[in-house]
Amino acid sequence: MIIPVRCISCGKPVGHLWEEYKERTEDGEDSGEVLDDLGLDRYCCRSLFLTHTDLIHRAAKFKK
Amino acid sequence: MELEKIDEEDGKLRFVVKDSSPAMMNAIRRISMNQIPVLAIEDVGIIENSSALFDEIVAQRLGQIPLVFDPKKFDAREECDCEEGCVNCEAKFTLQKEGPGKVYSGDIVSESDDVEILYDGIPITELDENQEIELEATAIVSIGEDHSKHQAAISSYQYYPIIDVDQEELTDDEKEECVEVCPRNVFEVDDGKLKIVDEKRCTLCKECVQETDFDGITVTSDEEKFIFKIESVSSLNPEDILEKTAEILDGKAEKVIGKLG
Ligand code: SF4
Ligand SMILES: [Zn+2]
Ligand SMILES: [Zn+2]
Repeated sequence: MIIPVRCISCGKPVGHLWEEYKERTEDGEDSGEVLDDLGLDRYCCRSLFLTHTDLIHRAAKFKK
Repeated sequence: MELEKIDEEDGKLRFVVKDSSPAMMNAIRRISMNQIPVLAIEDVGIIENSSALFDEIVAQRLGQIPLVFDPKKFDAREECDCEEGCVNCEAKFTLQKEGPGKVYSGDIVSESDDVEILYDGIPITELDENQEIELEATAIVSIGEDHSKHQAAISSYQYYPIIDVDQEELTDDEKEECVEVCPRNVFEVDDGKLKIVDEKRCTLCKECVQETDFDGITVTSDEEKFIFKIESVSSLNPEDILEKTAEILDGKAEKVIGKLG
């Protein structure tokens, strides 16, 4: 839906890193290297980024 | 007990502790994670929210945003002398934005000069055409035990590794394999010898021991020496967290001693 503010497992704030991650991986950078660069070294935070899909712009089209 | 700093970067502090016990290390670990008062948004009054996220979810997201604050200035709401909340126990925020566009933590306006949002780029919600968000929020100081949004740090410790290498027992191939197999790059081969670059990197996984068929390398742990890590997940820096931890532990010990005597 939307990137969590903090990692759901360890509690590290990660929300502000998402857009940079998305931009850089879309530009063809290796996701593992971007994650290292962003300081996400635990596998909980890494899996959160690797598996996340932004869907909020689609949900916004429907009535609550 | 003796502390020696290894390094500190990006809010992660590592240090070695000598002459201590797992009990002591765990006390420090638990207090640094869930007993340190941290400011976080607690009450949210929604005036308008036509975004795709429900009010509860917006409030829950706001609560998790790390805030910069002065720990000396804030009291817990229950311990404050006031009845209804005052500047010593609460911090107020407002947020107002119209779509289309994303709403970020940077759009939140703090009403006190000494309270700020730590990261401006946290997405809160997204607004479509004709959607709008307007709300008021109140932050309070509390501890991680109460709610994980008040957690100050992520802390962990491990035994200090003792790596013994028997150069005679190991063949050259085995030495190269050790370098290859160690996930933390502890070894290097220099002049036909297997050298330890930095034993503090070792996680005691014993992959190297297995690779050499339990013959030539032994990895054991020093049970009175530890490597401790504190990673801040709040606006407090790890050294301040450690200091506060010591203070709280001291207070708790005093309390027990007082009850005994
Ligand atoms: S125990 Fe694991 S981390 Fe430590 S030196 Fe051996 S392979 Fe490396
Ligand atoms: Zn995590
Ligand atoms: Zn008060």
